[in-house]
Amino acid sequence: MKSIFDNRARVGSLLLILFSLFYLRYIYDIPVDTQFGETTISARTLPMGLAVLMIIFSLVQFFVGEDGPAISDSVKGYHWRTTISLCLLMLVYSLAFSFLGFVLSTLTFLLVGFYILGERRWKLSISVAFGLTLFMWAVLTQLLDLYLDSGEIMRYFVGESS
Amino acid sequence: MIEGILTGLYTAFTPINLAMVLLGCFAGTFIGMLPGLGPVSAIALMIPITYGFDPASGLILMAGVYYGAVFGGSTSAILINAPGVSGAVATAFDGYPMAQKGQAGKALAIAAYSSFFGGTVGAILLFVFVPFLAQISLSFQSADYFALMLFGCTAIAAFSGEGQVLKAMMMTVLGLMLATVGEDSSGVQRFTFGLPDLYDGISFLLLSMATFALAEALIVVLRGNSDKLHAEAEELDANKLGSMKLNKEEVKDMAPVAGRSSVLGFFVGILPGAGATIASFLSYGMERNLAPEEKKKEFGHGSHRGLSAPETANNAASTGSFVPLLTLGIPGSATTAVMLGALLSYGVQPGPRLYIDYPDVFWAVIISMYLGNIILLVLNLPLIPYFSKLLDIPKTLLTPIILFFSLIGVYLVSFNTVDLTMMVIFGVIAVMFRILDFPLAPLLLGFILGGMLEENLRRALLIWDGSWAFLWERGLTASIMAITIFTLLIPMVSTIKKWHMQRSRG
Repeated sequence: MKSIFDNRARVGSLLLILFSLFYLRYIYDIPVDTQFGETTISARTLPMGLAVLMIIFSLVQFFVGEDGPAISDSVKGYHWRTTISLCLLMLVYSLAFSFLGFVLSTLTFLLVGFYILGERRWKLSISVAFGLTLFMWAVLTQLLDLYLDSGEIMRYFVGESS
Repeated sequence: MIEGILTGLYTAFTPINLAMVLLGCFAGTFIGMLPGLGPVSAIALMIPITYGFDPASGLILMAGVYYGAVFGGSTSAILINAPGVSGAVATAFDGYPMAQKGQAGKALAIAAYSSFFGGTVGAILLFVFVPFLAQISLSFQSADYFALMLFGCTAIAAFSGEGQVLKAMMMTVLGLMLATVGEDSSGVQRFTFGLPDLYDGISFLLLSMATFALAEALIVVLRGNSDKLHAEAEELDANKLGSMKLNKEEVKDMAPVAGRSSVLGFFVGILPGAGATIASFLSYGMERNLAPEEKKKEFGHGSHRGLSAPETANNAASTGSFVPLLTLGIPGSATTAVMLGALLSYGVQPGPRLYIDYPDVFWAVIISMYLGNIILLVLNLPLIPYFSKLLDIPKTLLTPIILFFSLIGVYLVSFNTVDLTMMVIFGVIAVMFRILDFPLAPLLLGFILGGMLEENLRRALLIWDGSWAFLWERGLTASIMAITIFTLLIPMVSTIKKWHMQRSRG
C-alpha cells in the first residue's frame, strides 16, 4: 500500500503549511505602525491574512485535492544525480565568485557543467568555455564598461588594478 | 491622440529602436526554439541587458523578444514536436504530422502567415481598444485598483487547468507572501531577519529568472528530454524542409479560419490569466467543430486549418494580453507580469497614466509590436532553415550556457553574489514545485501584484477613513469584487462537485 504522502498535492500542501507556520511566527516580529490607527491596517495585516488564507487553502488541498499520480511513479527515470550536481555547481559558483573572480569561476563553471552533462570532447569543451568567458568578459568590461569582480585570488597575485 | 501616435511613430522608427525590434525578434526566435525556454524566460534574460536603456527601447526589445519567442516555439513544435512554449502545443497537433509528411516548409509558412494575420488583427484591435479603455480607467480610484488586482490574482487561478485551481491560488498567495519581504510603504521592516540583503525585498528579476529560466533548464535535465530531442533534430536534417509556397486554394481555405481565430484569440488574450495557450486550444476546438465533415477528419493528421487556427489565435492573444497591462497596469499573463516588473524597474508605472505621461513609450510599443510581426514574416521565415540548425547544438553545451546566462544576468543588476545564492535556492524550490505539479506563473503574478495590492488597499482605507465599506458601497469596486468572487466560485464549485461525486462512487 502506498503512503498517503506519496501524493504530489499532499506533499506540496504540507510544505506550504509548514512555510505558513514559519511565516506566521515571524509576523509577530513586525513592529506595528500606527499610521492608520490600530483598527484598520498595519504592516502585519496583509501578512496575517495571507498566512491564514494559505493555511486554509493548503488544508483544503490536502484533504480534498484530487489524487494525482504518486510521486514515486511520476519521478521514475529522472536524472537526479546530474540535476543535483548542476545545482551544487551553481551554488559553488555563487559562493566562489568573489574569491575566484568572473573569469576563473565562469571558466570552471562551464567546464564542470559540460562534464556533468556528459560532454567528453575536451577540445570542444575547452574552446567553448574559453571562447564564451573571454567574449563575455570583453563585452562587459571593454564594451559596456561594467565592473566585474576580478576576485580575491587575482588581487592577491596581480594587485588591486585588475 | 494623433500627437501621441506621431510621437510613438517617431520613437519606434528611430534607428536604435528599429534595431531593438530586429534584435528582439531574432533573440526571441532563437530562445523560443529551445525546448524548455519560453517567452517568460526569454524576456527575463533580456532584463539585465535593458537596464541601461530608456524605457521605450527596453520595452520595444522585450516586445520583439516576446513575438520572436512565440514564433520560435511554434517552429520547434512543427519541426521536432517539442513546443518551446505552452501556447504552441496545439500547433504541434497538425504541424508535426505535416513535417512528417515532408511538408515542414509549408507548415512553417502557414504558421508564419497565420501569426502575421493574428498579429495584424491584434494590433488593429489594440490600437482601437487601448486608448478607449485607458480613458475609462482614468476614473479608477485606489479602491477599484485594489479590486482589480484581486481579480488579476484570482483570474489566473480560475483559468488554470482542471484540478489546478486551488494549487494556482496557493501559488498566488505564496507570491503575495514573498512580496511582503522587505521594507513596506510605511518604512517597517518585514521578514528581513536583520539581513541587509533583504531590506529592499526579494528582487523581482531574481525570482523570475529562478522560477522560469533556471527551473526550466533544470527540469529539462531532470527529465532527460534533451537526448530525445537532439535525436529528432538530427533526423530532421535528412528530411528537408520542402517548399514554403502556398497555393490559392489553400489560402482561400484558411482565410476565414484566420479571421475567426484572430478575433477570438485577441479577446481571450485580454482576460487576465487566459492567454495564448487557452486561446490556441479554444480556436483549435472551434475550427474542428465548424469544419465540414471531410475536413474534420484531417484534424490531427496535418490539417492546414488545424495549424492555422492555433497559430493565429496565440499571436492575437499575445497582443491582447497587453491590453490589461497598458490600460490598467495589471499583467494578464506571466510574460506581461515580467514586463510589468521591468517597466517598474525603469521607473515607469503602467496603467491609464502611461497613456498620458509616457505617450512615446505607450504608442512606440504598440507600433513596434506590428513592426515585430513584419520582421518575423519578412526576415525570420526565409531564415528558418538556418535557425533550425540551432536545434543541433548539443544540449551538453547549451544547458550550462543557459544556466550561466541566467546567473550572470542577475549578478549584473545587483553585483551581489548573495543574489546568486538566493537565485539557486529559489530555482531549486521552483523545480520542487514543478515536480509536485504546482504552477509557477501565479507565483510570479502574485509577487508582482503584491506590493501594488497592499499599497492600493492602504490608500483606499485612508480615503475611506479606515472603513472597508468601499468594497460594497463604491459601485465600480463592488462590481469588480462581484466578478472576482464569481470567477473564483465557478471552478471551486465544480471541483467540490467532482470531489463529492468521486466520494459517492468510491
